Amino acid sequence: MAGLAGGGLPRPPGCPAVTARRRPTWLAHPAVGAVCRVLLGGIFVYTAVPKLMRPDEFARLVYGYRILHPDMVNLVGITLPWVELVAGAFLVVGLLPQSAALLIGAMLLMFIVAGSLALLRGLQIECGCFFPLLGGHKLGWDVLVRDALLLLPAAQVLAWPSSFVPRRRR
Amino acid sequence: MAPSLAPSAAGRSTTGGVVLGALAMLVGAATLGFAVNHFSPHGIPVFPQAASTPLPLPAGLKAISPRDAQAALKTAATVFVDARAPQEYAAGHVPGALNIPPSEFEARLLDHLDAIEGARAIITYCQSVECSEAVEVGERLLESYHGRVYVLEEGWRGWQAAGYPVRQGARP
Repeated sequence: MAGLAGGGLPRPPGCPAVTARRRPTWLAHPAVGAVCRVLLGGIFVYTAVPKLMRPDEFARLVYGYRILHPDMVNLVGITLPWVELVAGAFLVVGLLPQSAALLIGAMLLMFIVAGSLALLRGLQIECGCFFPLLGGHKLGWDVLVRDALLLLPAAQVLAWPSSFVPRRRR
Repeated sequence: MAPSLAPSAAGRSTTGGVVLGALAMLVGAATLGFAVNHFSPHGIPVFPQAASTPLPLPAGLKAISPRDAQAALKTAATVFVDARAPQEYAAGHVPGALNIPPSEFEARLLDHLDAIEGARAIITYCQSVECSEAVEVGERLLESYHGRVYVLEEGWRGWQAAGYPVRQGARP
């Protein structure tokens, strides 16, 4: 689908989509793109698995943030780990890379906002991010800084989408 | 670098296309989550009102909101069980609550056996939403007690935050 939505005019097969005014720098290098995708997507896949195995425990962690109405907590507990897994997997492979990066970026922003609200209210809670079921990982500003840093690879993929999937010629 | 890894290999989508793709991914993943949750042994209710529990609890235990618990306080048939340490209990507890920490479960249970057996329902609590003592004591109560056992959703902190009655000292 990534190759289907290419703007208004039809593009000759194999013609690069890089616009003239955006001069590719080292940041635009496909190897950098691959590293960003594997790193960011890999983290999301890796951390999603334990959460989706135990939605009850993850829902309890979500509840600890005291942001959502209790009726909404389970909904997030059930779906969020799967959104993380699917978006992460798509990003690693390079299927709809920009969409996956957008979704992951939105989730990171959401984590930053939720974590900031919890910290500003003085809540001492489990962060529920990396090893939610092992516990012991308290929510702190360091966690939010790390989330903010992870926005960088997401931005790279949004700006210069890359993929391991060869583009189909039409 | 192989030509297939060129920056354009993935194709640059329009903004609308990117957003649409993200939305499709979101809906697809959520659907997958609901499906797996439905069949999983660890599955939880999507909307917990029916079970009256936003906190997924072990079988047999139910959660109760501070407001409902406060209403139950007025009926003599409900017994509160404070599962925290005696010092925390003495610093402040729900009026009438029995102090039964998990570490002294058997001894304290014997002390309060009459009250427990005569109760129509028991509400356990510990410090906050994340503590596990209330759940542990609740599970052990269920082994011998046949009434309903509830866990106070927000624990002691929620009770305090709501401004409900508090009693200090070592006595219930």
